[in-house]
Amino acid sequence: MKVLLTDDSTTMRKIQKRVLTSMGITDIVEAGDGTEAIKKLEENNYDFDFMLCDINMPEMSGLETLRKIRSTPECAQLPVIMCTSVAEKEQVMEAIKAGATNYVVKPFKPDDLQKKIESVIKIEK
Amino acid sequence: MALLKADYINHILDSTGETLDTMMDLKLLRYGSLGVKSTTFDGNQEITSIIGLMGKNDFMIRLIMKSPVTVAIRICSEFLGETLEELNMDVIDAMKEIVNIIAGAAAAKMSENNFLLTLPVVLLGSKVSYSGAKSSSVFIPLFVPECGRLKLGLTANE
Repeated sequence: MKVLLTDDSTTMRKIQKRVLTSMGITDIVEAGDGTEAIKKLEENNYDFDFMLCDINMPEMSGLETLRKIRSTPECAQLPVIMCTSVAEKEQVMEAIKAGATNYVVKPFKPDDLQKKIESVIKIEK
Repeated sequence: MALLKADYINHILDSTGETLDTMMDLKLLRYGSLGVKSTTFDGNQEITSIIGLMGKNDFMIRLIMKSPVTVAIRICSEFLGETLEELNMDVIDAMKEIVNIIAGAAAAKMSENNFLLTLPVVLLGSKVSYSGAKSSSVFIPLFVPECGRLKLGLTANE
């Protein structure tokens, strides 16, 4: 299973990586913003099982990234879990409208993130 | 004019406790009485994380989390799920992320104010002081049993 982890915070990427690793997912590609995420998708021939994506990022926001992904035929069906702070409720609604598969709200328990990931993996199976 | 409403203090304090509990499984306790002046922890290097909640008409609350470096390292170790031995960029980044999450949670509790968050900053040193024009400020002594003492500071200005 291969995952694209996109967050401008190295701390959040570490926390999310720990959850993924505990689930046995070790093929993890990291990106620090949306622009880099799109580049990583292209470099990896869009070969990812799902993506974790922060909403509030510099350069290209999570919402813009999601819209770009949904409009790119090669990755239009890629499951994307958006990660957001509770202050960004409106953006969560926007993300769902734009095609987010699921979302997780900070602060979150590692178990909560794991459940969201499992729900996406289940959909994929 | 009272700028720092009790509601603001309570929501930010609640959000701090919820963030530590949810993401680190740490309990936050109050100790001592709420103060209106900055105090330092004797003999320890300190780390101070600051983030602003910007409201309407240039109103801003600054949220300040201040602790000895040793306490910050313990908190960040719990946050990252790995043992950190010394002050490094992992600790600094984690302290920024922690105040960012607390401020985000607090802003959601005060959604009628439409607060926007500034970028968090981290300062090192034992003689960091703060000021705000016409400011009202409080410092709340807190205690995390597994990690040690810290202070949550709030200042407001227009």
